[in-house]
Amino acid sequence: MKTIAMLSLLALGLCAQDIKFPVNIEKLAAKAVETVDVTLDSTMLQLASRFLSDKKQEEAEARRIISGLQGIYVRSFEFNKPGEYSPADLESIRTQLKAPLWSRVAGVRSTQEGEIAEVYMKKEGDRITGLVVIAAEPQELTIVNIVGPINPEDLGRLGQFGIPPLAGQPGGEKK
Amino acid sequence: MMDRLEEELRRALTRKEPPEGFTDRVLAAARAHTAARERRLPWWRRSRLVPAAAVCLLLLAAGIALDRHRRREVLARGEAASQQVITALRITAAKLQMVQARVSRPAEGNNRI
Repeated sequence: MKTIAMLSLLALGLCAQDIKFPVNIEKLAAKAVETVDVTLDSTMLQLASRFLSDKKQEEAEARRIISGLQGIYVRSFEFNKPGEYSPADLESIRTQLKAPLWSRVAGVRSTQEGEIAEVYMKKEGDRITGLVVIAAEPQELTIVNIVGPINPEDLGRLGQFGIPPLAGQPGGEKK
Repeated sequence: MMDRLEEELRRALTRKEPPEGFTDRVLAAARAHTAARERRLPWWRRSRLVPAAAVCLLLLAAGIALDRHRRREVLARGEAASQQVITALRITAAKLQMVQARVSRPAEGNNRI
């Protein structure tokens, strides 16, 4: 009985992070000139929310957005020359984002500028329960994994973080 | 010769009763000696309560210091976590905005995939 309980807890822990950043992605930090590594599980998010002020608009918004989340994981690398990461590095992420759980809601590839941007959403019923953003430029690679229920309106409100709101989203520019 | 020695020994070893009040005088002298010795000790060594209180105070101080250290640690972790949240949401916002801009205004050379 104890073993089952332990295994269940272990499984829950593994599920908390929707996707796993492969070793080859984590190793890119050694080549990068600038790295952002954010690993916040639900415990850390709860702790963070206690330190986000209600009086500052951005922090209040962040506090509201993270209130139901189970994790935020970001890896962002800036390189001083192109070619420091390979398409295979991205593929190891994409293989984890398969239907029916995951669906790609947006994907842009710019052959001229060598940019790739993809947005994946995890849906359970009519709820969005996960978001993955892959943004790759010749000298920059960013992978964002947000775990937990995300209100579609929050995606629009994210625009308040120093940039204009998303078009077509509440608070965003109307077409 | 032996008889005289035995006689002297017997006399010397004969049980003699102590004078009246000898025991009381000895005990009184011992008490006085102890009291005098305690008076010579500094005040903080005269009672056992003082070292016990000192140990308690030390433990209390250590507990307070540990608690403050833990609070500082939680504060530092919390502030770092809140900054990480802001950073993560800013990056997410920037990337979503970039995708949105590309999708809504596809430039030449851009392909929706």
